[in-house]
Amino acid sequence: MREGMTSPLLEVRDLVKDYVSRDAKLRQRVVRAVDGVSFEVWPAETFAIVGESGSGKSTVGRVILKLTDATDGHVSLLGEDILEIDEKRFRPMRRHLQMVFQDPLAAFDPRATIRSSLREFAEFGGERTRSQQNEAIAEAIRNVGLPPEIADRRPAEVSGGQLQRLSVARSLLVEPRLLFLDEPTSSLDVSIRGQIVNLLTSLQERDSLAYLLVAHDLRVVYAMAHRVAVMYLGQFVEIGTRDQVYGQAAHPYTRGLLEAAQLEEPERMGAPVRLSGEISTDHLGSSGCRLMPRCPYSESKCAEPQPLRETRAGQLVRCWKAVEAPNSIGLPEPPSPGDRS
Amino acid sequence: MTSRAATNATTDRSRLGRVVREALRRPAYLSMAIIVLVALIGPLLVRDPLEFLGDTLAGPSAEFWFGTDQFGRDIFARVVHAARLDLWVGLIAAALAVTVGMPLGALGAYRGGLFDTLLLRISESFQAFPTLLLALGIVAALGPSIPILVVIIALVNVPVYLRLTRSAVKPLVDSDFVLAARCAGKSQGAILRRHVLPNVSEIIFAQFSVNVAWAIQILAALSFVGLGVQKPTPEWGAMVRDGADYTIYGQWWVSVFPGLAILATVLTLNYLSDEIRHGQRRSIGNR
Amino acid sequence: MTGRPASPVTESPPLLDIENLTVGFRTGRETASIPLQGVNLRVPRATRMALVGESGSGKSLTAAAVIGMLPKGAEILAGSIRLDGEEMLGASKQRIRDLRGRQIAIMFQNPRASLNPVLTVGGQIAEVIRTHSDAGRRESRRQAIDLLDQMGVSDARRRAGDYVHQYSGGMAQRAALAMALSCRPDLLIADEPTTGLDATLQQQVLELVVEQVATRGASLLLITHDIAIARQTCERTAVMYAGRVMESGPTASVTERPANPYTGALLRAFATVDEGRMYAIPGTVPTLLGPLSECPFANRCPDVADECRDIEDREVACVKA
Repeated sequence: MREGMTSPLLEVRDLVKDYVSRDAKLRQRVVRAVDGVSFEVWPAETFAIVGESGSGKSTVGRVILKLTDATDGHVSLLGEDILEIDEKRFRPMRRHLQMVFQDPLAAFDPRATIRSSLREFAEFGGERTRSQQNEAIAEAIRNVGLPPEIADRRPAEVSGGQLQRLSVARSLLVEPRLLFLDEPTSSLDVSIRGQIVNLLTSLQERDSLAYLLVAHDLRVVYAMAHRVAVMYLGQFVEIGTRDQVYGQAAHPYTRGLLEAAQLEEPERMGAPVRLSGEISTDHLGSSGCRLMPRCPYSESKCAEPQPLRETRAGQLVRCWKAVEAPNSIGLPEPPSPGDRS
Repeated sequence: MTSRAATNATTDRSRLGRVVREALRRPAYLSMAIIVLVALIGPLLVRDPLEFLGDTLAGPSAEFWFGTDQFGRDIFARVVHAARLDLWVGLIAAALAVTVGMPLGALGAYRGGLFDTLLLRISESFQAFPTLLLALGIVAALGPSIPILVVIIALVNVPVYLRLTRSAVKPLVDSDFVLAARCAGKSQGAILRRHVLPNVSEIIFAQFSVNVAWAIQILAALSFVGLGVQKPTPEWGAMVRDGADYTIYGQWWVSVFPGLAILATVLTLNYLSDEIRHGQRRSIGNR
Repeated sequence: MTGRPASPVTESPPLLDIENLTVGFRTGRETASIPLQGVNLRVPRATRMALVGESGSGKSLTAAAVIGMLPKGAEILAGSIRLDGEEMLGASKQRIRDLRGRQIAIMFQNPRASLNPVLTVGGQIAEVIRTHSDAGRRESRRQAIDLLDQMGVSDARRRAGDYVHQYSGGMAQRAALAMALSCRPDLLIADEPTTGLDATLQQQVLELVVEQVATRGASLLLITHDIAIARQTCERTAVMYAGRVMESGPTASVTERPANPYTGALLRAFATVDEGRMYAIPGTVPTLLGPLSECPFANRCPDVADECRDIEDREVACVKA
């Protein structure tokens, strides 16, 4: 019996993260990078957050790993609210929650051999003897399809693809339940991105690992994700299953992203959307729809607060037009509640 | 097994050869080695620096290479003996400064917040004061003795290390490999020790070399104004001061030779610092 | 004598003609690696050409050789680069500067690399216009604002007085394009111009580049790692791998009927995927320490055959094509 099927591994409620900076005149400026984000991740599931850079998607992961402090909200891991406890008490819980970085070369100490970088993880909790650690390291490296001898090299002597595999191997040494994958393929060449994706998928199938995937490469997300959240300027604007978000995207932002990514499949619903302009923190504080300045469909009512509302079963969208007047934004009418399967 | 041991031996030997060749290729290392050698064993080979040996104020000759001073003492012997003292004071003062400044700077960068700001402000106000004046004031108050001199010279150098370490550590604190170590459940202290400090050590070493030079200059300057090493102990700055009166009468050697010793040592230490920095850039470039 | 013929007959030389370009890196007296192993590439007039390749393929180094900005330690071992029929390699420095200055402009991945941070954006564009025409201060300034406006910089009159750090990423790339076009080049080389940008912006910038190059009758050499971008923007595509051009031709035929197995593999890696699996080319790129006698893709190629191991005297990039 797989435990935890009745409750999520990770539950995030109303997460808020502010960054405080000062401008040239020393005036305080608060940037709300994450503004009331809620979601949960179940065992053996990949939950992806997509969005442009500056949307705050990586910050969500970093807050969850307690690598940076949250401003408000709740994050519960296996039922315990981890924002309430201090670093010392959280340290043993880090075993459940690990991270794979975007740039593997930056994620390894340039001076240390790969073995000593992996050993830091192998000695977690002090349960393994030295020889057990060596065995676990060799096993972990074989697991990601590399020869154990590679551990004697330094990070710069290994190719980017191999180093990213080693980064995965390293985080798995503590036998985590959830991996935060922060753009795991974007520093790699296209011809080897697939190697990392396939590796992560087979590891998930084998160990029922849960992934929180943050990426802007929509192909990679399509390959890996079960559920997808689309983030814009600190807020989720659309959440649904992978097929809902890719095939029946309702929010103009999601549709603009999919359009720009030039995916050949799956087929998309409704008219193609072209977004103008670019993401800007100037629109962060807005209480209405933050996409307004870029959206081809915006009108005055969009300046009112926009809650996340359901369009199709399990699919939430932060756009009143998508729910109340889909035709006006080039979408077919959603099925009436009675038609829901 | 034997063949393996043999290969190890040859690689060791060729490694030693490489070190020697490298040293010859870089004059800074060679020059530093000579200065250290002079300071270490030179005093055993030369005449007594305090004894009145011959004519006063005799020019350089086959017997007295650097000439004699106003008491007929051998200037060459005095310069060599002073090398030991100046180098020691420089080394110990710089070492003291680094042991205090480096951990404080690293901690400030790592902790951030009020602690960091406070440290920074204190060291800034320290540095805003002219170094020599500060040292002068303290020596004048406490009286000149070599241990006090060492401590004072170290003290004025602490802010240098503090700020240097802080600025080198700051970008590392948020680097991915430090975050990875946090994910591995390592404590702050362990991360500082294992990941942060080793990655800033070359910058610190390069600065260390410059700081030894500074320390020697400060010592010489204090001695020059009479608040440093006291007579009759040979010290470069004090010797320059003693000779200054005679230079205008044409007896230049009394001042010039110790002056050249200061120049050579300070230049060598500065070159050495550049070499260490270049070596670091090379090893990163090879990555 | 200029190379430009009186009428555009078929005999007119291509705008840029690179033949057998071989570039090596040396450490000390030895040649340590040969990252370009005989590159052949022709860019006709008024044509948009994509040069597609992964990191280490040599695509950026090829562009650097064309504009004469090879990194330190690199040297041209063989080959020729002709601009409008005139040989650039071996020409006098003054002549090369003249040719390049008049005919070639470049845009980098980082737009801030081509704009001076301490001069206003409009000011430096106006300066380039003045050196390339007899326009006066007022006139060049008016043209600079005009150019920024054409590039879609909103409120161009005001923004011309701003510095590049006051521009957002997308706007800075538009300003860099204005800067590149201000000297009226015949050839615009764009080295990964949208790699740092998000997809929505990438589309906007690429469309702008295509439109501007087309209305000016210039040629574009677009260097990119993304074959989807090539398909979207260019009429012709050349695919590079391990210091060679593996395949080159009209974009439609290269991407729909790839003749070279490497092109096919690259296209598969880009194809949309399903059920947790993506295609990956097995193995890694060869290290180019010396001249290769076999096909550089031989060790990763699904169709490898004996004759792929000996291609020394051949010009075709794939013996099976």
